[in-house]
Amino acid sequence: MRFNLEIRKIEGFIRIVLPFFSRQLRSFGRIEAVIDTGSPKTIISAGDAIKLNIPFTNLQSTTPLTGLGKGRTPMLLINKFAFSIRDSDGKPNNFDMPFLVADVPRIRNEGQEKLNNATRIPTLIGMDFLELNSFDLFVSLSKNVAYLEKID
Amino acid sequence: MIEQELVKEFDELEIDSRFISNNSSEFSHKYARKFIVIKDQQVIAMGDNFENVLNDIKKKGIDTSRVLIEYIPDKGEIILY
Repeated sequence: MRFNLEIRKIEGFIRIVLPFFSRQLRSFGRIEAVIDTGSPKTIISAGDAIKLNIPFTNLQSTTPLTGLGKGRTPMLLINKFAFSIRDSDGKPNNFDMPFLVADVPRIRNEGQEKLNNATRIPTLIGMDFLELNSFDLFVSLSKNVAYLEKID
Repeated sequence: MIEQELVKEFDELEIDSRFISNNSSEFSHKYARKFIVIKDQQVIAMGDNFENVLNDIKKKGIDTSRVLIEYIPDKGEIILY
């Protein structure tokens, strides 16, 4: 089963993008995530968390993330984030797995500048996404093709 | 949500996602260092601050969960995650 990815070039920089759909209770909605094989974890960005009204108060705090030049970013954990991605035949497929979510209230407490910077970072698909869902990742920039493949 | 509704959501999501990819060059000239909001293959709002942009579209009565919001970097601006 194949799940096509978008290859997006902005100002000469290439990103591989997965459009998916959050099926979380009271936080349904559309998300675009960037495939980031440098990230061990999948992370819902501050912007998408705000956009989808994720209920921060109900979530458990987890280890903050340390990123290049950004200091530590507080994170929350959703143990079973329900989402759907669409295969190349057009059929939505449902999954759930642990997602980290940017802890927007705590980031806001650290100042507006910090929150402004956090909202520029997209949702990231990390290596745990590939591992936990048994996805293989294929990218050919020369052929302009990228997709996830799942062998059942 | 029934599967038929989800399929429609995906149709719209993927069209808007491709719209961003196909117009990224134009967007980077017009909207550098701004957040843009995309719905139905149109830029429906833009601004320097994510939350202000989100409030603008809420005031227009648009469901924020059904739009895409993209930060357009400036020329030469590299965002590392």
